[in-house]
Amino acid sequence: MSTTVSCSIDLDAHGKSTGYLKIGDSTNHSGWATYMVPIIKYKNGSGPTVLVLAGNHGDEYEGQFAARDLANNLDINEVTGRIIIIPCLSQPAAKAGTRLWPDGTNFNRIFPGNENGAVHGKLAYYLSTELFPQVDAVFELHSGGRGHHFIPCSHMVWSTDVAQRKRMIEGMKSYNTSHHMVFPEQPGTDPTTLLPGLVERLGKGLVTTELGGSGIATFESTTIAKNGLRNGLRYFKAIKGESKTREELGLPAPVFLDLRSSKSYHSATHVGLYENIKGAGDAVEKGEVIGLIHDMDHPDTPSAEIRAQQSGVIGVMRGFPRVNIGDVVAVLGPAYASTDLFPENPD
Amino acid sequence: MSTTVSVSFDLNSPGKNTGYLVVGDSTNNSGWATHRVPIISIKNGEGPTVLLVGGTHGDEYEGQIAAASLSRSLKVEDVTGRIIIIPCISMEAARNGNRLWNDGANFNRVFPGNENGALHGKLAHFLSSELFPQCDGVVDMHSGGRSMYFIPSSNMTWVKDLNQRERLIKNMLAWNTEVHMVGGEQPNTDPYSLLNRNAEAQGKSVSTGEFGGIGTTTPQSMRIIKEGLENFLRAFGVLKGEVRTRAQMGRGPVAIIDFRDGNKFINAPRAGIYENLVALGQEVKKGEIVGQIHDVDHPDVMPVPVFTATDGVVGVIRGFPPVVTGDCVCVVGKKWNSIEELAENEARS
Repeated sequence: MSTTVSCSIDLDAHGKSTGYLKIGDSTNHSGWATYMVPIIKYKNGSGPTVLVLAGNHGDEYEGQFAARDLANNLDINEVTGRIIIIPCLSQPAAKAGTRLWPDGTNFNRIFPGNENGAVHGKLAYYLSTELFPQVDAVFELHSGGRGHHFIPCSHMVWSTDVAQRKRMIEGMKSYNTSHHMVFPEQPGTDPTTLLPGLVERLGKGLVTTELGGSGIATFESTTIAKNGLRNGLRYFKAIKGESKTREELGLPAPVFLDLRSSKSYHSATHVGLYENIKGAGDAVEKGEVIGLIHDMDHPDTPSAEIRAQQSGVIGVMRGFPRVNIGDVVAVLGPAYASTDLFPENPD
Repeated sequence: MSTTVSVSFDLNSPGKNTGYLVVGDSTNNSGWATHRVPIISIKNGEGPTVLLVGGTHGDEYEGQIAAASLSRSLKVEDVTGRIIIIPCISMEAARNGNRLWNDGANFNRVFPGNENGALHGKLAHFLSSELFPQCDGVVDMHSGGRSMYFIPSSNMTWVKDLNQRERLIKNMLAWNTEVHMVGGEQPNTDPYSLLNRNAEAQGKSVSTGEFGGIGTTTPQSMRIIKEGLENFLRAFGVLKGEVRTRAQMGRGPVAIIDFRDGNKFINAPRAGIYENLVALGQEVKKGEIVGQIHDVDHPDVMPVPVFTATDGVVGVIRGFPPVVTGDCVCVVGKKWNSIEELAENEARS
């Protein structure tokens, strides 16, 4: 129970409502202010409750458009349960076109939140303690943001809980993207500080995505985001209609990239201007040059080479080309026709 | 003659030389400082001099990488004349991922520069008064930057001077991109405050392009610009090797996208988050919706549609989605099958 966030609409009422999460705030320009986060709810019938979240990182717009499309255009008669939509969790970041909040906070590292913390901490606390407990499944829509560009995909972290892992694989497939990516737990990070990491451990249905990137959204990537979300909601039986597989839609079978190995992540070795020599979707051999870092200050310095640490398909390439040492410039790993074919140990 | 910018080596010496434009500077952390802009010269035998400039806008990286790559890979014996390369003229903007310099200056609006002005003014003055005069050709490589996304293409302004126009057409076609874009004069702008137009006004043979955008590069956009640049330099007679046409490369006919009419530029009618509803290269009809602007503060307000005022092909879409009223969100141009067709149409109209 949060004392610092309330919801202006009754989330249990029948029908469609739009309103705000209202967060106690105080700024240099406004005492006794209320920070407002738009929230939309559809309820019709007694089916499951699905929470649709986007804009966890501000500069990831594809999911924000897909969530807003649902909020604007879903017909209440299509709904067979309850759908709660927050089109943009990190509004100050989205408006500024940044990944992080203005104070440098990564919204995806502050769970379970802080009831009496900053606005983002209060919001995370409300999600953890009030929203997550009342939902059956969560869609958390990310993309590459300015730094990265993904093959548009739904993805998952390889959960150690085998039953949960199975549910996440099926949810992931329901988004019907051409590729699905499987990641390890983030090194050096408490997984429950992540929004999806916490949801996963609460035993909820969970679908996460990476729908493009570079801090923009094209018609193509936004269409993938919207179509996948509708199909996923059918899969969870929150809207009417049968969910379809790619095969049933006449599309090629999906490709599963195993990115669990520590050799998947490629980091910049120098400061400079990173050039993607190989791009998202390209197959590469171990040892092949996938990128170059140009030293723009010293014209007589040869460009540094980034070589593939393993063979596979590039799932993520660099967006914003200016890099610091340690910035991730590519993520790649072997492709499989099914997660059943993944090796026990990716290393 | 600039007293505030010098070159750290002799641009007339043969072979490959690397160094800096050294610009007098003074910052809060450094008195008597010099701002350094890398410059490379490759000279061999007789032939024209071509200047390549990247990074006029900082967040347009395709040209910077193409220029930096060429400066590292080019062999002296492949050059027939002189190629002078400035991979990135707006260094501070590029470092920060910005279009503009930190003080808000647009390097493509400061020409002919100011010898005793800010760094960008000094640089522009040096280019216009010392570098351009010693060049036969000037290439200014742009892209959409963070805000825009272009079909990668070489382009030109449809200038009045017919001799100059002829040269611009020849240079534009030499890049062999899938499309070329032809623009009119920028409204509400002194044309000679632009780098390329300043060089043109000095009678130089100029070429420009927009080779992608959104503040990134992809292997595809880099392939297009690198291939195009080499072919352009061969066609200009400053680089050895066979000049190829699209036909010789087994490519189909080129499309010319005509932006000369100011109606082609579609601006955001209000502030918000802009969503592209059309793809690059898509054909659209007058009155069709090309995008919509979301009011992210009000969940019960429907998005505002944005329409095209003309038929045509989408040559440019929006990159960075947050927009304010008046931001350009889309450019739709009439498609011609050749530059001759475009020119004939102008004669008729």
